[in-house]
Amino acid sequence: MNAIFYPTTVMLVDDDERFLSTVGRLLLIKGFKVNGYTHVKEAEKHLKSHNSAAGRTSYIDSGFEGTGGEESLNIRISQIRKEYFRQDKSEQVAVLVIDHDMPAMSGLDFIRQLKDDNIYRILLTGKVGSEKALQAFQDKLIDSYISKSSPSMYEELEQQINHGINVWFKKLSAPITRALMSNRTHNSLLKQQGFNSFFAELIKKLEIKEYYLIGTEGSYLLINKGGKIYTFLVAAAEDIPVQIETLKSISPASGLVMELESCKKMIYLNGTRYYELQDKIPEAENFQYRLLEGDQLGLLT
Amino acid sequence: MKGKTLSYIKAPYKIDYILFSTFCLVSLVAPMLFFSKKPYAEDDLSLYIIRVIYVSLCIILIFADRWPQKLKKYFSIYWYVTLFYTLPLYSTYLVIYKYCSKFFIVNASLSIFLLALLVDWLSFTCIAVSGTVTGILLHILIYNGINNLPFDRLSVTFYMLFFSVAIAFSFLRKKEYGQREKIRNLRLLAGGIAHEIITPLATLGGSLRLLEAELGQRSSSPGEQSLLKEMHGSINKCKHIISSILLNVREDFTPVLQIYNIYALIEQSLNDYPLEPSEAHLIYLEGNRHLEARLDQMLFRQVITNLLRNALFFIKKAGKGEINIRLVERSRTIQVFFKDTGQGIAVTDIRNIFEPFNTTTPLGNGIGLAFCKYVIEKMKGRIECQSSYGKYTQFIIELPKASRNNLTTEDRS
Repeated sequence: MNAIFYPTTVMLVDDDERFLSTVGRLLLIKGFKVNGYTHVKEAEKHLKSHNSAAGRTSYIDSGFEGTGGEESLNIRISQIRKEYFRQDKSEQVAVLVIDHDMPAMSGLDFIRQLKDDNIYRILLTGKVGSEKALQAFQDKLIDSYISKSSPSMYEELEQQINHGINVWFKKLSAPITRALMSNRTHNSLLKQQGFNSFFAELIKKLEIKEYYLIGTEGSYLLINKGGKIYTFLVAAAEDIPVQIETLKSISPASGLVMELESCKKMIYLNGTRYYELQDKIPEAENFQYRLLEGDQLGLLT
Repeated sequence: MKGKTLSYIKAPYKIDYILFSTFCLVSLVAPMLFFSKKPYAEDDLSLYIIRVIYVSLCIILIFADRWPQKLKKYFSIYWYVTLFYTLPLYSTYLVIYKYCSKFFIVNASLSIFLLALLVDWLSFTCIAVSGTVTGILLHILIYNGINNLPFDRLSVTFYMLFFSVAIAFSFLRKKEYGQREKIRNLRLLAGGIAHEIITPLATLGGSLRLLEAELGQRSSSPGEQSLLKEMHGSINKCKHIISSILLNVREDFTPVLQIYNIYALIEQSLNDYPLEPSEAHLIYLEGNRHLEARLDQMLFRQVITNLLRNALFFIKKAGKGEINIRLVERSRTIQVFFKDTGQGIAVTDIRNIFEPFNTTTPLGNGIGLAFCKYVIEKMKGRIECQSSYGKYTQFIIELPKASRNNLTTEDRS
């Protein structure tokens, strides 16, 4: 599962204007944000102003901090707000779809001079099994190539763009997912096999267009198509002892401590406030979650 | 080996062999018209026999169309034998017999040139050399030696023959070069057109999808839906043709060879083909289900689709027939027998069916079978065609069998 996701742009470059507008409209129907260019110069301009590496803020620290066994993964929660309200965020190009045969500059030449390595590159070719495309694919210059003469060209394109966007955010999330995967002591929902399909289902159901990881155990802030905000809170069973410690220092006599100790209940603890959790995730028995409407933790205010 | 030699010998076009036999017959009669002296009066019996064979060969050739079906198989061999006998053999014999008379020197030179017009250079060399030698031997055999030929005439004969051979070779080279050039230009043209068309075609497919999406908003009628379906079908057919052309015009193409279950691939191609309800029960597939061959699966499926389209076309045209696909395992190869009992192909058309942009046969767009041959040979296989007009057409595809042995040699190379 990715740590972060938001709407991005699919860049389409083809010298044929009609083709460009048709593919653009089709992809728009499928829910993608598309920018079409008939000339590489304009495409380059867009990339220069929106895809420079310096402009991308990442709120995730690249690894665990602390000394000895006491490591903790840092998420700069304060950055989420900045990230969320960043103006040109959705202008960033995650996927590039480019025609190989163009008069001014070939698609492959354009790709060769790309500055941003994260962009997922799809080459459109007129020819079937084009050797140049195959070679470029083997050289990792492009991530995929699609033949315009394939009867299922549009299906392949849609599938590849979806895949490409996913890969783009995977790269963006890499620091945290890599750190989580390599850390054995820290348990996270992101490591659970069943979570992927559960989360994908949730996103589909709520029509989520944007999400941010807000806790290493797997809590998320979700924003849907209409701008509605959800908070997805998660706790792991092994966090309970630490939570009890914290609760005892706040109000030692609380009945909640007893319930936690007897494992009847799980909570998400945020400062002095807590949220009772009650739902289980299939194939992740040690976790409980709760989906709340609104920005419960006040991250965006 | 034998099979290869036989397939090298090509049957002529109808116009060629009719013209040829007429020319031969006329050249026999011509001396009677031109010379005041009776030209054949002094000839002996052996020469009359030779002339009778000559005339019979030509007359039989004229009526090749009416030969019984069984004999038509040997038509191309008969053609070569006739050329061999009537051109170099006959004229050599006559030149010696007539003491290098002017008329027969000219006749021999013309024969050489005519031969060059009718066959390719390899056949030309074989027929000319063997025919000349046999002509000399025949003369020696019948008269126990060669006439004492006058030296000056003999040198003129050699000069003329040498000259004819030189012209014939230069002509043949130009002919073949011109042919190659023509095909190359046609390929470039077809490739260029295909390449230009592919983007508008993709646009058309996209627009159709957009239209479908628009129509999807309000419920479309069955009539509209079937129209949309037909349009999609036509676009895909165009795309298929264009892919074939583009593959066919590329000379540097390397297929991706992997091991596949050949039965399953054929079955899949049959399932993917948009068969009409009346056609589905005409197709039979039999043979070992577990045979594996080394091939490029996309290309192989396209070959099967092409053959299928061809076969269905000829079944429809003949109003009868069915398709039988049979897999046979050989020691090092797998053979696919693709037979349809539809219209069949005329003997004189078979020689050209695998040639690209061939318009003399009624076989589709002139690309389909050329594409099949090109692709199969790229996969290190062979394809040949047998047919009997009115009865059947059978394509035999031979592909290398997947085995550990050829895997390792393959990988080493």
